[in-house]
Amino acid sequence: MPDTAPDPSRLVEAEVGRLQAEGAFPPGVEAELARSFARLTPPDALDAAYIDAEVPTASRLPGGAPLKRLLRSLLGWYLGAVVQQANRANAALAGAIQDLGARLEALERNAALPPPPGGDLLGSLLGGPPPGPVLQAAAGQEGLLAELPDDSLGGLVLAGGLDRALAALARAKLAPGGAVVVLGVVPGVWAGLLGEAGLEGVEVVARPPALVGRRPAAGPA
Amino acid sequence: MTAVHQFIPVLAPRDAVGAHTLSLRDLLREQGFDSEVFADWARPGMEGQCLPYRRYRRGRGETFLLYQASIGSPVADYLLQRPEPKLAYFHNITPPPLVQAWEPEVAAAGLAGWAQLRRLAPGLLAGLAPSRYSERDLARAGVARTRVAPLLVDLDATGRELDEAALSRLQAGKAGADLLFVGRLSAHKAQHLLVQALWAYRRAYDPGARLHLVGGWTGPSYRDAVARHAEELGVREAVNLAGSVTPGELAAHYRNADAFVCASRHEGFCVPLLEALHFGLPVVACREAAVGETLGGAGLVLPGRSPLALAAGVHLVLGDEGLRESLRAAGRERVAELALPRAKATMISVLHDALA
Repeated sequence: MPDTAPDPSRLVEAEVGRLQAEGAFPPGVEAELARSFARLTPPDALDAAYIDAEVPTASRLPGGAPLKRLLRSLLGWYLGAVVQQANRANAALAGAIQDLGARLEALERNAALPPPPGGDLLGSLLGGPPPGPVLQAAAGQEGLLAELPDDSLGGLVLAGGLDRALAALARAKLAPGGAVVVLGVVPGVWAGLLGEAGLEGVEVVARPPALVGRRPAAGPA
Repeated sequence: MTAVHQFIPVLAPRDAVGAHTLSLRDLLREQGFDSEVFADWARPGMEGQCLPYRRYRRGRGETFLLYQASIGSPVADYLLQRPEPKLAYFHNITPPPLVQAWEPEVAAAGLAGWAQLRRLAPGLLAGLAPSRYSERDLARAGVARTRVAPLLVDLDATGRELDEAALSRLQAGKAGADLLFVGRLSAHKAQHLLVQALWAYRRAYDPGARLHLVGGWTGPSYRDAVARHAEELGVREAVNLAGSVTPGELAAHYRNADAFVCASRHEGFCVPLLEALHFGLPVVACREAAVGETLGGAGLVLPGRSPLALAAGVHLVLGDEGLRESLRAAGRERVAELALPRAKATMISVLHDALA
């Protein structure tokens, strides 16, 4: 290229500036693109599986940095070998977890679960529309459920599991005649918990695998 | 007769490392050395070109062993136990953190590769690398004597076969500029950034532009994420995930493309950059790892990793005939510098020096 020609990377920079000034792209579009792709990136836990043996050697104390560098070089052969073994083990574990995740996802896809089972599923189980709003909650959302007024829900769909406290909470939040559906791979193991909580007509549904219980139409919460 | 035998983890067809290894074997034989290739695994089609590394037996003459290092392999552990003087040609290893989340098994193999290189380093007569970037990594791994030695790539072979039907298909669907990247679909090659650049380029300049991503993948997760990202950006139909292609199809892609784009975060050399120059394509790339060095001033190399800058860079090179022609001329020079006959002469000189 002739020496007098403008630096092309400067021209590119100017062109990007022009596009942004003219509003061809919204402000912060690159950050938004990066965030959009980051949402598709596997969980951070896998990134964290990598341990870096190159510890920083900066120091605020005079002579601290050279001392740290000396220590690092003296211990490097030992730490490096240990960290490499740990990293190999971590990477293998992370791979196994990722593999399991992929298999679970495939299993869930193959199970051909219907679209989010809310009112429709409850309606079909109850033989009519649920007597109030339906909440779908996943494991870990017990706090949200606890915030709701008692007797406020016509239906509750729980995904991911059940324990004694959650069963009692469900019983309290359901309006008379309302029903709870617990989705899970082996719903039968939780059946006793719904009975203990005072729900009736407890049944295990095969497809999708779910557990259903109803709050009696009348009676104290 | 002096022997220089090469050891390689995997000998694969249509692979730069494999092609380099076989070219080097032929060159060594031409120079009067006894030379064989020993591998842990020969991919289909390469069985006749190498022997299992366990079948290596030392001959009577002076013998050197040359390891083609690119990933963790039992071959390196085997070489560690051999008493013969050794050399390594370092094709570089993908830094594990770049692929850890997507391909943990590749990251693990990379970690093993680095560890093996560090163990081999003190016993090496010399370490050779195709770029100064990789040469620095060799030195960091503890190799005392390092040299840059060119990768033996027959660029003319890339254009020798052309799949005319594939070229017709590509041209039939053309509605704007066709951008191309060639390389394994992997997070360290950052094809998702190219998808973002395509989105920006279509929005700002050319709604009919397409992106062709040529290259296979080892794990589906990054490939799926790239496809989904393209879908979310509304450009899925303009992104061609071509996968692994035949030599004829590869030539068709190079012939059809208007520009070669590269956003890789790590490349020890990157042969497709040279192939693009060989086909006269303008190259727009992010300045990372050995990319700028391989291009040697023959491409538009951008600082940072901005998809908008990549899009603007493509617009600039496609819209400015003078710039495109000067890049093309610089590309021809670069290709001539790294052409096979010259590369062979340099390699022989470097090898003689290393073995002395």
